[in-house]
Amino acid sequence: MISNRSERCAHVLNHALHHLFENHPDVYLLGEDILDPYGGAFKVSTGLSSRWPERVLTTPISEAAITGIAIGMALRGLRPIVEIMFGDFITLCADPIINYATKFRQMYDDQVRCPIVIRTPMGGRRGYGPTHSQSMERLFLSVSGLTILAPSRLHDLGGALIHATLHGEEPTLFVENKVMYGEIHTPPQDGRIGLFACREFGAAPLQTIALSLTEFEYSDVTLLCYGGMAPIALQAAEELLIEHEISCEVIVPCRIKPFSLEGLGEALERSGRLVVVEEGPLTGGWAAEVAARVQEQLWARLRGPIRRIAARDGIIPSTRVLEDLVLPGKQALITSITSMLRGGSVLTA
Amino acid sequence: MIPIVVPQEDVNSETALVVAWLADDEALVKKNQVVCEVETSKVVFEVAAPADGWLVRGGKAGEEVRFNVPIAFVVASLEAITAARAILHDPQHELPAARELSSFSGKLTERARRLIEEYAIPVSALPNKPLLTERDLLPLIDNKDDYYSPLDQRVYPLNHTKVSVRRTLILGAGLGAMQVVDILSHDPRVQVIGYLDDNPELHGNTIYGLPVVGPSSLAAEWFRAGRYDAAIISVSTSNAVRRRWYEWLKDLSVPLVNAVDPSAKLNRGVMLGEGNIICAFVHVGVETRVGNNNFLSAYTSIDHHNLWGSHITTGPAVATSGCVEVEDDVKMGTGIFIQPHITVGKGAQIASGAVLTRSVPAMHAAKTRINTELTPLRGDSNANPVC
Repeated sequence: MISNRSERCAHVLNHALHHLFENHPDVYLLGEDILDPYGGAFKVSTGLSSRWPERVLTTPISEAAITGIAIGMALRGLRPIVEIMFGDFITLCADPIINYATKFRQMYDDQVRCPIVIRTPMGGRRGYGPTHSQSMERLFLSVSGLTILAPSRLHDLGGALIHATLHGEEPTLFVENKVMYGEIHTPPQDGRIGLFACREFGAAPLQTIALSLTEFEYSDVTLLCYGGMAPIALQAAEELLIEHEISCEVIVPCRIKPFSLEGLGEALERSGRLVVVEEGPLTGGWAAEVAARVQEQLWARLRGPIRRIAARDGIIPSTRVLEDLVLPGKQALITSITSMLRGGSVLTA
Repeated sequence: MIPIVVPQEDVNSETALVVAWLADDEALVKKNQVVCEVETSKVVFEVAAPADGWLVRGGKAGEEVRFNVPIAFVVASLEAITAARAILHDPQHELPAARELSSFSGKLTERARRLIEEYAIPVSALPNKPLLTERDLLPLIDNKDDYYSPLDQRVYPLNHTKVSVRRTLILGAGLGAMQVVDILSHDPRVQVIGYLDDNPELHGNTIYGLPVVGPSSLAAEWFRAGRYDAAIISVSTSNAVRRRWYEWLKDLSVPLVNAVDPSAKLNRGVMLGEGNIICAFVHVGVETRVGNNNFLSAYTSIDHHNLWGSHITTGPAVATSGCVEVEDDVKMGTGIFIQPHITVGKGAQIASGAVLTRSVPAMHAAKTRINTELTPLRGDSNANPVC
């Protein structure tokens, strides 16, 4: 892991890019406003163009063109990374992703690879309004041949980006939560993150991380989430235990497509209850897909219906007050989970 | 140990007068129960218990007390009563646990903190974990059953229905109890937490996985402590015991649940009281009213427009016609037929196999003579003269 714990996540990603450019001459970066001194809208590309000007290509405002060019570079053996300034504009990359990048390998009988990485910030809570705050990765869940990584600040962020760039055989959508950029990178150390005991499932650096405040001895509910929801889920879990004596295990995958149920089986053995949380709207989201798979494969471990907590369907308002009402926050998680368990763990109250 | 303090409701008074205590010293009180009336220069107001537990009173009625200092404590264990008295006697006295707790470096849940303070658990005894929960501390408490029964924590797997589940005690731990718990196991609204029985030899036994926790007198104590929500009487052999326990439970304001087997057929317009046990394949016809605390055995068929009172027991396969009236405390045997428009008076006893063609007055026995002949069989069953 090429990061240390006191770094902000944007720096961790920036360092990973520097590491890639330093060691791998076939890595390129394409995107809008990524040259120094601006260094990209969220400064993740800072410093790259100064050191490797020939490999950092700033482009006109045409996401379809950027993606198409990167696909061509990948077909000829390079390892291009695309930066889309705001994830909301991933819709403009949909045609090259869906009809070219993810199909060429099979259309051309396995003779070509198209390992592009499309990095893009997603998520709200910054007051950026309806067209700069969405979580659009959900739209690509049904695109076969596409890998979607959505690491949180708990994951090996740099490792995940390096892995996707160098070892991805397929196109990768690399989702970076906007709020995460400013957060301190806190991967597990010696099996712990603060008060939480951690377990990791799956191969590094794309592990799923499970967290428990009760040392995985027991839990009342399992909370599954990714990306920007992870820190919020951890805050909710802490308050649920301290104030309500409800033990809540949090499971945070890094790779949300294809999705693996690793770690969920043993967690549901303890809790029997699953809440899936996502920042995108409820309808047709990741949580719906996960809930369907869990009930197909782990039905016997469930003691009640799977709950989804997600954003309200509709636009994301610009004002922070209204945005907080639309997006699922800590209080929404606490309220939903306590009401879900109401009548259950009653002691003296 | 939770203090009860008199809040300063106005700025004109230095002290308040204890007008009256509304709960006895060392009585079990429930959270929000008014335990004391206090008067200041402007107003009399009520002081409520901050939690469930035993009340340890400080000031006496008629005494002046200061604001914002404890005038009483609510404690969760009998041991803590002594500690509470010491503090009330000497306000400088501090709970050793509270003093020591500040030296604990880990984090505690709210309930864990309360447990440590209430039970004076020394910091040196706390498990070495970064965060301690209630569950971590319960093994450290000898009399944890006084705090809560692990039974209370059983979670019925139907929380999502938003139906509130009633923690239910079954009175009587005999054969009737097995029938009742079996019937109630089909009802998601009821969670049976155990049995009470006055036969001490049964205490500690389990019936279908649930314990016989103690004598019936516990029903009073536990109800005041809020440890269960409803009860049902399982005794089927004595109407008198059923009635006595029922009346006692009603004196305590304990609600009773009905135990109705899913195979029973209750028709339109049937009205059912509480505490009834309705076994498998019971039929109740339209517009029939059934009172409280009855035990209706399997295949009892009460036809339409009957009027049944309370504390009635039937054996299996008792069948009434329409418009029959059965008064309180009637006991019926097995296999009884009752014609339409007949009244069975209060306390009457009907023998098995009776066919009632006319009414039975109160406190009468009714019997239909059935001559059952017994003939020894010879070795060859073909020689059996009956079949």
